[in-house]
Amino acid sequence: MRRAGVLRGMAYGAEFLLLYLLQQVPGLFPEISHSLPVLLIPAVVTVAFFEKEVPAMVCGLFCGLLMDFGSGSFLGVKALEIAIGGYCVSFLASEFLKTNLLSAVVSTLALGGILSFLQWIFTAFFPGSSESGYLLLYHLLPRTLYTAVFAVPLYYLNRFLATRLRAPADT
Amino acid sequence: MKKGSHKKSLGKLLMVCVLMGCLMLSTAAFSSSGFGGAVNLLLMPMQRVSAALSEQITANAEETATSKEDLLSENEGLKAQVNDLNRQLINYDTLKRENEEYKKYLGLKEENQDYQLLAAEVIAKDPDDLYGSITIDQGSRDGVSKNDPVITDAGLLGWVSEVFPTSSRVTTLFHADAKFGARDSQTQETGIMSCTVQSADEGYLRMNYLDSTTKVQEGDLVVTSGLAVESGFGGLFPRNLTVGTVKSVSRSESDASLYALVQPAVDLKNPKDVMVITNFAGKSAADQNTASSGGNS
Repeated sequence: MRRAGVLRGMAYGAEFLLLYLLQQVPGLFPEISHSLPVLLIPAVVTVAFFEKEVPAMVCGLFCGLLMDFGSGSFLGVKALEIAIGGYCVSFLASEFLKTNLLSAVVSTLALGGILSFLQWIFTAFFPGSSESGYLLLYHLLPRTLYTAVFAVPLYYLNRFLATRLRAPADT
Repeated sequence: MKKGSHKKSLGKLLMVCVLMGCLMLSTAAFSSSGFGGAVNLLLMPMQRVSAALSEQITANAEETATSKEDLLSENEGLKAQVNDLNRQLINYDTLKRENEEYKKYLGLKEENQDYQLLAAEVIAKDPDDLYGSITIDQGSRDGVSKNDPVITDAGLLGWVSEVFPTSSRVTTLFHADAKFGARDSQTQETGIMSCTVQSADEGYLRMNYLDSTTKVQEGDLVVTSGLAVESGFGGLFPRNLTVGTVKSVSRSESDASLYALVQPAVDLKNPKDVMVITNFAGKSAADQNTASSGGNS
């Protein structure tokens, strides 16, 4: 059971690293409304549907740290946000939500929306930017929607990993 | 799931929150470049490969396919030779591309003998960044330092905002913090370049604080003035780097001055191969001006 958990952890780690690299490749994804998808968010959400709270939190932490290193902002900001997000999604998935594609997409929209809102609050609204409304409507909202599209393939990928790389006793 | 296990996991979440809070405070107080540098050291080679692969796939997508049988027979015969030749080709392609890039900048170098140029390639673009900053594959080990201007063969792209050992982050002229002195090369009138989110989305920069009697008109070439400005970069950029072309002149929304919409000479959203000006005459004075005016991000 422990070995299966380690294998799943390594698979998720490789997946997050690959998605992090892919989301940063210049020109790989077309810009839609001046926005690009953040692939790590649906990855964390879909993993959280199949893992318990602490592993989901650790996945969120890892992805958030990757994004913090890449963005040059204060280390730990995104890590904290996505770790909490992963924890909450996992808790909701175990207690209230059905594990299906629709729930995964809605959860991705919700987490992506909250993260974008927090980014908007601290980088545009609080500093008193005159374009805060424009940023929210024409940059952050499209990015949230664009990101949620990738919850579909990632849900199936992580469902495959979670079910295949699991000891029989876990199922 | 039992309540007890929820409590345990909640405790772990709180511990993570405290740890991340401490991390944020420590990087705010000191510098995150140590952590970031270590991670960038690991990730940069992979970013370079993924960027190169993406470019190669795009270039090959339009080639017409040859027959399967021809390819198989050719493949059998050339496999061993191809492996060895490919290794040589990678080195050759790299050198050839660098040489072609340097040729484009030869005129600029001849006009500005004091410039020290370093070729770099764009390897990553942060999707979480609202202003589209990019990462290049040269860092402090290669001689890049913070605030170095970054150009292409067409003109000014931006400046180095963060440096790691093997890579650097470049902020483009579309960033809200990009404020620098510029000059109309035809009329010699000066103004301050800046950008709003809306103008960036439309693909324009703004040249502000033009006099009401300005003679700046559509089609004029705008270049860096190299002059200090109160807010922004001081003399961060050397003189006469091409910024763009005037598109139109309009009255400012906030005061009686005029501003010009400037079409950037460089494709600021999709740059590929760039040059970093690692040194130029007056750079140390420019760095002091920048430091005294409050620096930039």
